Amino acid sequence: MSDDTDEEVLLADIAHGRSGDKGNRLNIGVVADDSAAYERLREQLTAAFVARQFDGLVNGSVTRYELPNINALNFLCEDALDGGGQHSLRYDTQGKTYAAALLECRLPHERTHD
Amino acid sequence: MTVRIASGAGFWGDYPDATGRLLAHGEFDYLQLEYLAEVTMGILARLQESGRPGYATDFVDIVAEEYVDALLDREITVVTNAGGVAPTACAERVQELAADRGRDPTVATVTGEEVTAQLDELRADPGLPNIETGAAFPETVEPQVAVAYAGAFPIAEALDRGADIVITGRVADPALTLGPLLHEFEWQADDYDRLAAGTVAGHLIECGTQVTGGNFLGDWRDLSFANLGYPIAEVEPSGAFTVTKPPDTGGAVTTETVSEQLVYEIGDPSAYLTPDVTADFTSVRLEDLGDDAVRVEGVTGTAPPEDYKATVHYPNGFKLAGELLYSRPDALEKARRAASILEDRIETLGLDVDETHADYIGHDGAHGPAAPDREPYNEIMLRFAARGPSRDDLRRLGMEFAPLSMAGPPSVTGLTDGGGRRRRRSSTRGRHSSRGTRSSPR
Repeated sequence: MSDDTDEEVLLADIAHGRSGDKGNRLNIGVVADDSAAYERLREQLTAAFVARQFDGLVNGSVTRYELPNINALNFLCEDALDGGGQHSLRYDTQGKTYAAALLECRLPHERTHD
Repeated sequence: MTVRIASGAGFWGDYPDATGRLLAHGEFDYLQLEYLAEVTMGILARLQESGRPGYATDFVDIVAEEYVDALLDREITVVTNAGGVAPTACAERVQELAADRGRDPTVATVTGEEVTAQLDELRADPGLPNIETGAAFPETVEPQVAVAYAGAFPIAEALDRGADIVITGRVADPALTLGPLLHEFEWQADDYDRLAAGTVAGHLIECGTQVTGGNFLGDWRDLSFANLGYPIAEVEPSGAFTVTKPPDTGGAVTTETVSEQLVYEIGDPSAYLTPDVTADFTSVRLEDLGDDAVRVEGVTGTAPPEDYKATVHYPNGFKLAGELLYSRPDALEKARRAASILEDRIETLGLDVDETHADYIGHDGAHGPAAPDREPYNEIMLRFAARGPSRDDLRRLGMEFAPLSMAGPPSVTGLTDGGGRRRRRSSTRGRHSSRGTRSSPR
């Protein structure tokens, strides 16, 4: 599905992932289905994009790391879990479901053909 | 020669029969059992204060009691962090239970990672900066327990000295796997690539079924979650290893499931820090061998950081959460109205509350402001939570939920309480420990 480069694409159709906590930090790992999908993620799934998706939920900065060896990106989000662990008032205190939220995002049309 | 290490517990609360599943279908030399989430140490310290065991009782009640004969008969060595804040008491209990069965295993403990007593000294010099923010350790905090993450070498030493069961307190989770490898292969402290490989192996299996299909966000519909297989790492002397699971179990081991677990709860993938090594996860090469086997090789590592990481658990006020279920029509609107009534009542009663939080379960309970609007909802569970310094004030707030079943927005249910003073659908948590993560020099 990663061939549909001119279409808006649901992230879940070209990637999967997992999220979890380290203290008040959240990490979301996103694994692309293949190297073409990975290149598209590198282009479009920026730290700023992720920060926008979690506006109001993640209060600190978002840093993106690359794992080209497994076609994956890792997003480390600061001040993301209302204090984390036992301090948090949220239902999902550890951000375990946040990867699923990110995968429901749509990446825009690719503009590389223009 | 390969060393086979199975993971039979990914957290305290994992399937009680996990070890049984592994024993029934798997062949392995070591069994590692991981029980200590970040929050668990604070919980254990509180339990110990109240006279209950400060260790993971699941290990003692289930593994040590039910499976000790089979493990000893098959010469499977157990390495676990079940010791919590009381490894010695845990070991004594395990020995007692084994003795009841006429067994006399060599049980070793790894201790020394608890630094509660040294905290004042460390605060003064060289200081305890918060690992996330760099902030100095707050003066006003009264710590309950402080523990550093220990490495794998003490575990290896216990095995060198003939332990059948090694019980640790807080150690870096991958150390439960790396320890046996150091012992078996005599890897040295500066064999960084191999230490990194063992660390990656530990990272991949320490969460149990999360590498064999549990929580898999890819094509999860295709997976059989019944009798999900627990993972086994088959490690070679070079550090290359294969992740697999016993035959005739559910789930799957593929490059996809392994990749998802590789990126789980990490920061900078090129520098995964443990007390033993800095592992580079971007060096990992995965090869799908088919039949639920993935080979992992190419792992590189460098010297470990200078500092240890520690968690400090301290009481930081009280927390309360209560729930009310609202039905259609307009379920979300009713639930929102109820939350605003609770806010008003906090004001009217003058309750000392630092912060409140409303989750509308069915709408945004998992994702808060990141949840899209999908009205109309058939029903919404309002979960209203608050924290503050006063237990009495939060208990008083807890009494504000039940009246809303008669005095608030309509079509509400879930309060089937018999009318006691403490309402069943709300609960005040006791002194909760908020962890702060600190680092201190090695």
